[in-house]
Amino acid sequence: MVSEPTTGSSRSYIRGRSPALAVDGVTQVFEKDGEPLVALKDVSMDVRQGEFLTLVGPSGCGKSTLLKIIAGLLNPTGGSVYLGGSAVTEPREEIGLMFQTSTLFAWRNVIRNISLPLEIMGTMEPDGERRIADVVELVRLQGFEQHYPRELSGGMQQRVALCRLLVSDPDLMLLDEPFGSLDEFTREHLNSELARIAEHEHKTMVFVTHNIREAVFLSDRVAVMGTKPGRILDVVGVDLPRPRVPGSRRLAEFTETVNHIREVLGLF
Amino acid sequence: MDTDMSGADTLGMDSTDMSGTETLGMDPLPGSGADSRLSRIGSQILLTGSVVVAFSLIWEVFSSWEALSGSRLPFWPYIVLSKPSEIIPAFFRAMTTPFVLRHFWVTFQETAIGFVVGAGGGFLLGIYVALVPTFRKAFYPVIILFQCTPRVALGPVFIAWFAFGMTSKIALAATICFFPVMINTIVGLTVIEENAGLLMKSLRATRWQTFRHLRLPSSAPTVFAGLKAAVTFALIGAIVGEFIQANEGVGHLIETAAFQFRSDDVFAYLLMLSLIGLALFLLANVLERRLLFWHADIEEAA
Repeated sequence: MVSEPTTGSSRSYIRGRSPALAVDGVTQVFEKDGEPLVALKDVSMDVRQGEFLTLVGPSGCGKSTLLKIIAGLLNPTGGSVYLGGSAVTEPREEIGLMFQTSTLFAWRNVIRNISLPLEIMGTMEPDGERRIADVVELVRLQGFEQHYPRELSGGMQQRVALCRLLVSDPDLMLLDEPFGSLDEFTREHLNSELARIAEHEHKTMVFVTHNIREAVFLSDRVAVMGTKPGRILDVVGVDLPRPRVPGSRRLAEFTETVNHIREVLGLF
Repeated sequence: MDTDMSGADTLGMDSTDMSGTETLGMDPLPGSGADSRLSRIGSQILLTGSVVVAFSLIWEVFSSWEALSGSRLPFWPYIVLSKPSEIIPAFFRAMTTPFVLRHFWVTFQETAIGFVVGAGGGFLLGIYVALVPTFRKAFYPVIILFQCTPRVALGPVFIAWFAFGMTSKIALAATICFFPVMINTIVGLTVIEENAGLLMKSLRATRWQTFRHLRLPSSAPTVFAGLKAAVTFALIGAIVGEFIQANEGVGHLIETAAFQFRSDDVFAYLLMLSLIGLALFLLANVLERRLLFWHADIEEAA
């Protein structure tokens, strides 16, 4: 097992490169049929401000569990998560979440789905409507504002979910296999869109996927996870130029990084 | 773990399916052609109409067998089973007789008030039970026990409590439609999509916000299914109450006509009851389509 390279010293990074998020020795044990099941064992990593980090690994490596812990939805058995220096023990307004299912409310049209976080947080005033119009434009949903979820394809639904994530302007965005149930064409297209949006917004992003190509295409760094117990095997830096465009996948560095990750996972 | 994926860098799941993907995230909207809908309704009327006509014809022929062939069918109950050519005139006669309509008005009132009281009470109490976990734990088994009890058997009790008038019938109708609405409300409010719950949690929504924005709207299809069942149940409750003891209402009319072997009238009243039930059901359907237009199953259902 290779240790995470950016722990410890990372706090001395210059401003803008400091760790926005620190996962410190997180262990999660579930009980299954009376037997303890170690979902995550001593996981540590730092994510820098504005960085796009992806957790990639096979099913059962605990990547979704780790994301829930970072979101404050699950308290770990051991270890802690720090966001902006303070421990995350419950959900926070500056953390946004997106799932594999679009989780749109069928009884609300596109605009009212996007406005949900603002309504809940009570931040619709003063500039909620302008903010909504901005994200609709950024995610390219113009013309679909009045549509209802069932009238939209899976890809379009995920665009709406992305808008809903962006609208409350969270510092940290957590995306749990958001394109996992889409076909390959839609997925690649939305990957390009997400890369464009991430580069535009400069948000700290933690993205979960089991698709290595997707991970490399989107990320600054990829945390490769293994199973039994769930743990980080290695953190691989992605040395691809930005902005990321479909042609980025043709670069030699892209293939090299993909192959390197496959090696770490023991796929060769 | 599956390691040989013919070049696809996908773990555990092959997502390189190339078929049926014509657009990138922008599939065309599902059409709702008005033409196809009209022709669908037309063919529906045609199909159902032929079933009703064929059924009535067979009935008529069997009933008129003696006049047609000179001998009676041994298995056909001539006295208690009138024939369509007598029932239909009896139906129109009943529809235009103020005396009969007054009785129908009584039954309709019993049904409507019983439904509003029973379904409304079931809905409100369902909300309360669903939202207070201790209440839910304590009451759910009792509710199930009541649900499994044939509640029409309470009829004589209600007659004893509320005397012969409309109140006892309303009480019986309300009791019968109370439980399906309550149970569906509890289930609808309790069962929500896991990620939707997590989303509300991550947004730090209050219990009230989660109820108003997620639980209540997502329970609507389930609650409506309960309401639609309850409409018919309320009618059953009112009629059974009248059968037990009454001097007005359709139940009373049917009983009297049956004792006097006026079977054409019995069937005419029955047909009128069916129409009341159908009207109430259709009303619920229209309301459902109005309120639940966003629900994916609406187009297929009903």
